[in-house]
Amino acid sequence: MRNSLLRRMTLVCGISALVLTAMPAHSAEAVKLGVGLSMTGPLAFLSQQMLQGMKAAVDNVNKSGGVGGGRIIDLVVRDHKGVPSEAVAVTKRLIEEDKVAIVDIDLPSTVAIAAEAVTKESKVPQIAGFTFAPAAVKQGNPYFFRACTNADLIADALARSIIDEPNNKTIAMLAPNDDYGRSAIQALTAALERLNGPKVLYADYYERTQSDFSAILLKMKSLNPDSLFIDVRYPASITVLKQMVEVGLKKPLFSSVNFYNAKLAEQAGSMMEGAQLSVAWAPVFDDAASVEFKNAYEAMFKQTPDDSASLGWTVVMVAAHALKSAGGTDSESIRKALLNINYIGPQGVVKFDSNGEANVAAHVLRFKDGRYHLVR
Amino acid sequence: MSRAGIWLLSLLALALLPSLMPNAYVQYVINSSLILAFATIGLNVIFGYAGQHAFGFPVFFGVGAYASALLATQAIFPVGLAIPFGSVITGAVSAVIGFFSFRLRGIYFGVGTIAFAYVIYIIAQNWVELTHGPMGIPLVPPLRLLPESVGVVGRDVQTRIAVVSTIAIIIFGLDRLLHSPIGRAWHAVRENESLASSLGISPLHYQMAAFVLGAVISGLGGGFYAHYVGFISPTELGFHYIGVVFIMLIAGGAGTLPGPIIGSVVFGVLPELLRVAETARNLLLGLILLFCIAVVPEGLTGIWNRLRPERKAASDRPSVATVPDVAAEIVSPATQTGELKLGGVFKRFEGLTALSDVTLNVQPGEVVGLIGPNGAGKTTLFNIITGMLAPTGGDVFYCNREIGGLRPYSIAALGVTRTYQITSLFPELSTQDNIRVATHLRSCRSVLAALLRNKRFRDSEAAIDQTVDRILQLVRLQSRCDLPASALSYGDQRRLEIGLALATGAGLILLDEPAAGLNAEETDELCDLIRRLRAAGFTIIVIEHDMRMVMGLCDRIVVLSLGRIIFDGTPTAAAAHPDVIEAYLGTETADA
Amino acid sequence: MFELALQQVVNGLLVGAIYALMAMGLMVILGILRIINMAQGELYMLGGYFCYVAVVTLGVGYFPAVILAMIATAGVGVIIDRLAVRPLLRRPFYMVFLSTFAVSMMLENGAELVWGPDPQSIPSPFSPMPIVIGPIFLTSQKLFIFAVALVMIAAFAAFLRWTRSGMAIRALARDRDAALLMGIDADRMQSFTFGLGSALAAGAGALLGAMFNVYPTMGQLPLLKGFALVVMGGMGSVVGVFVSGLILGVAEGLTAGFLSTGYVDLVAFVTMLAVLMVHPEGLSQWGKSRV
Repeated sequence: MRNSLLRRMTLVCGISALVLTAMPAHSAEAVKLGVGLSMTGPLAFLSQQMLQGMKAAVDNVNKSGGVGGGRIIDLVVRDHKGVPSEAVAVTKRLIEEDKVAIVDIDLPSTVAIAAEAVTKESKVPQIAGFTFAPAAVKQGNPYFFRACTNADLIADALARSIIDEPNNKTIAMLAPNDDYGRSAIQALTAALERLNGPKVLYADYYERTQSDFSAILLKMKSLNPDSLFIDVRYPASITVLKQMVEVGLKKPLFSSVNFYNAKLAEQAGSMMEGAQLSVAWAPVFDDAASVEFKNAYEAMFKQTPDDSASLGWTVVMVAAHALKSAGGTDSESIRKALLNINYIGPQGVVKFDSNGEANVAAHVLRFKDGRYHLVR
Repeated sequence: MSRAGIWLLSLLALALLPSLMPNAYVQYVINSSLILAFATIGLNVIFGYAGQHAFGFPVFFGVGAYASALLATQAIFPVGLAIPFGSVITGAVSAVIGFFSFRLRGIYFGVGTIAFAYVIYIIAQNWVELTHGPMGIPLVPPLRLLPESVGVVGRDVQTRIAVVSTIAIIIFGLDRLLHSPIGRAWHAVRENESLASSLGISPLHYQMAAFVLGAVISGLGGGFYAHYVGFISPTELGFHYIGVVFIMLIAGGAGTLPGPIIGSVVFGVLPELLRVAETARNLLLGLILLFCIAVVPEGLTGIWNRLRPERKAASDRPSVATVPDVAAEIVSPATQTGELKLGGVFKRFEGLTALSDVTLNVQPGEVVGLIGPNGAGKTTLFNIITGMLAPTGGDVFYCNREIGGLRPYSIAALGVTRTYQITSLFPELSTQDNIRVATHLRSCRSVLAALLRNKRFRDSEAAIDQTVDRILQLVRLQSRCDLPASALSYGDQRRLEIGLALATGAGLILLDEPAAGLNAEETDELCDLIRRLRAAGFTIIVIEHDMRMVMGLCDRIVVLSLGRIIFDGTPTAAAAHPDVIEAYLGTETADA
Repeated sequence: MFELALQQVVNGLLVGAIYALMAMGLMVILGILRIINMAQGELYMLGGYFCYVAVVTLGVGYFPAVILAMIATAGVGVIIDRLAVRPLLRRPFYMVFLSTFAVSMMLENGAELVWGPDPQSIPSPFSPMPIVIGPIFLTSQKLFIFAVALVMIAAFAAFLRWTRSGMAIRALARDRDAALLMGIDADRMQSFTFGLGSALAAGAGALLGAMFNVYPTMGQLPLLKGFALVVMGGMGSVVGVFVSGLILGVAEGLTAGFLSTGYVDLVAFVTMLAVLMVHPEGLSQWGKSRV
């Protein structure tokens, strides 16, 4: 009895050792892009969409000749659950085990920043496609590049629309109590101040697990602002809109891409009428790059892409362009190539400054008559 | 191979072997597991050793991480200082939380610690000025023992060496503490808190010590974590950590020295090994925990111990050689003896007056018998004298010091001890270790001495060994000194109890029905022992129902009935006193 | 200012009744049986999901769906009792804590695997249009839930007080062995009580799921707040827990209204800890023999 237990334990240890030392096989011809997303957790839906955009881009690139020298690109996707420490582990794994040439760790911003500690030390290029936190380019990491817009630019675009709204002297704000929400409100408040916009009467944050907003909404109602910035994620957004009706709070609404959501429009359209939201991209864009993107995506997934998908597409495209002009797959060549690229994507021009910031402008849409219209 | 040898080899293996792994990612996983082991070790101190169910305890790992990260990024401490200072801060925070938590009893203690953990989480999430809230603290500087040129892999190895060395030091220190009066006190408080208290061990003192020590260890790990991962956010304080750390501890083996490390390494690495069920990870972990609880609550270390039969009932010291029963020398009281004076003591329990107007003087060297019908209040009186209850009124003096209302351990320190109506021992400990625990008041209790094993400590332990031997001889339990107390026969257990009382060194011993369940021969032996104790200078008060014993043994008899003293005098006078007879037998009725 | 306070108070009362309903299930199991059921939050969550499944997948109407959810979850509760609690009754109580904690991990992960991590909403039969009474805004849904909560709580209290089963449960709580000696089938009563507590939690989950959303981790916070309420209300006192729930709801509302929302959750814990500091044994002196 005792001996068989010992034998079994040894067997387990032996197998474990074998499994540990087994190396994953990889194709020699593909250049790998390491992607870390929040496949589980609250940002899973956005991650899913972004990943689809990436896949469409990979397909597009590979069909049109790859990245030069007959090489195609390959995505290695890992889940960091939206937890920064997991993101660190994922990044290390992508770099050291999967041996990727470039990493993209996104959703939320904290994971991208956490990953920077790894990419900085390992000297591996990191391109962020969905990281808006201004702090991301301030980590002193020469290998980090942000290919999308950022919170300051988003705030800037929205602030202008807020100022354009007639009789708008005061505003109240609500955002999630996480890094995204806090930087969003911080940036918007700063932008409004800079542009002499409406005064911020009240700003508050809600917890991810929160389901009752009546207390906050009541407070806002009592302060009687002229407009509201309600940046609430789906599906809490439905609850918020419903409760706004319930407490009798009706004001011009401003929000972000969180309000760009078909289900939200379907379920709460009437409550959202006239709302303006900042986005990185929307299907109503009809420039050449957007059209190319839309066609490729629709061919592959048979549905209209959204904001997140476009961000995924852009990242892969930027990476592909850099790889093409880099010549090699070593970090330094890729880094130099990134500093020199000038790519025109669905969201606009992507050209990195010395900090790795691309300064891609954001846009504003208005929801009217059940559809989204471009405002700026 | 000796224990120390096995330990040294294992730790060396842990430190160096992972470098042979094929890629640095696996090293990262192993390092993270080792760092988390600090949290498990810390939890083991409060949960495994001291036996307190502080369910929210793993939060201190996160507190240490934040403290160290903030010191390094805001106060610009060098990493080598930030980590230890961070753990000191964690200790301070834990002292505050412990102070409040230990006021709670039973379930509430555990629930209270969870509440505190959640409060800390909310503060971290919302006090943005201090903790950056949900945005977290980025750019936490890495721990580097050597200059930068060594690269990523080098840093992994450095961190691991630092971590394993620190763990080694901690284990070494814990081992020394466990084999000292402090470790014995922890065990006592865990197994039988009220007995420990009456033997002079302050439960709160040792529970707090374990709490803070465990927190400091956890905080140390948190510091290593912050500087290894490079980024801290409130998620590190989150609840999934609590579950993971508990699983690691229990599956590894709570209450053992290697348990937490084994648990952390196995359950840190296992999910990665499985590789399959990433989305079902919690499902599997939960299953493992359930399995452990139901089937192997002692964890992996317990299984290992079961496979090595010679380790059963291992005692603290090698067993005493059986010496032929020489007329064993009596140990004399270690504290001064004096007069016990009760003045007008009364005790009321919500409508029931258990004792009223009890006035009694007991001189040093007397053997007083306390008798009376059941429910008269005899044990209540003992409880008041020894501090388990506080008198509602009146005063109690011993050696001219007021002891009424003091805690049992304080009173024990002043030289008063007792045995119980229902046998109260430490069932898991061996016979000689039971006695050893009871020598607490005589021992060198300094933490520093225990860690350094200086001359003062060694002398004290040697003296204690001698005392234990003599008491074992006196109560004739030498030949059974290595058996667990639960394995002794009833008569042996009763004698052991008296041995415990003697071990404290108290001069005033209260015996609560010591002859209950003993046969005539054993009772005579008991009387003989009590006489010898009196000759050695002890003062003894005995509650007994065995009249023959009481009459033959006691200098004086005090009779208690319905909470009042109805007689105080010589045994012969007691036997003839009408009140006494009435109390026991009732008055004559018409047709008697 | 006064209007805001008044509205917050009214709102708080409504929310408080819901908290109380959530805590009732826990009160039965923790307060009466003295078993720490860390999976209670997940039973609440399952109630919400079962209701969702009944309405969306099976096409049942909302109100029958709530009942179905309660019954189904009661079944789950009985299974938990049989597998994770009963075998460990004679062991130190932290074993039950850990085993039910393990169960909660499994249930949460399981729900995530089955239904995905994203929140789902249960189509609600209520209109969002407010009912305005003076300066106060109410909704029919909130009033309904308040009423249902009251009814359930009252029915439960009556059950405990006046029925044979209720007395058996209380006897079981006082002294298990004595209850056994009195001929009470302790095991069966315990399973029954567990099922009852689960059903109550499920009811709260189903009712709230329609008002808000259901998601796999929705049970974590209610569990902790439920603990707070049971502790404050006095283990075993229905009235105590109900009143504590109302107080908590109002306190949270006022905190959100006049301080900041982030610290709202703190209220429950700080209050609980404050109560325990004054009464380290909990408030059981209030509710010891009353139900």
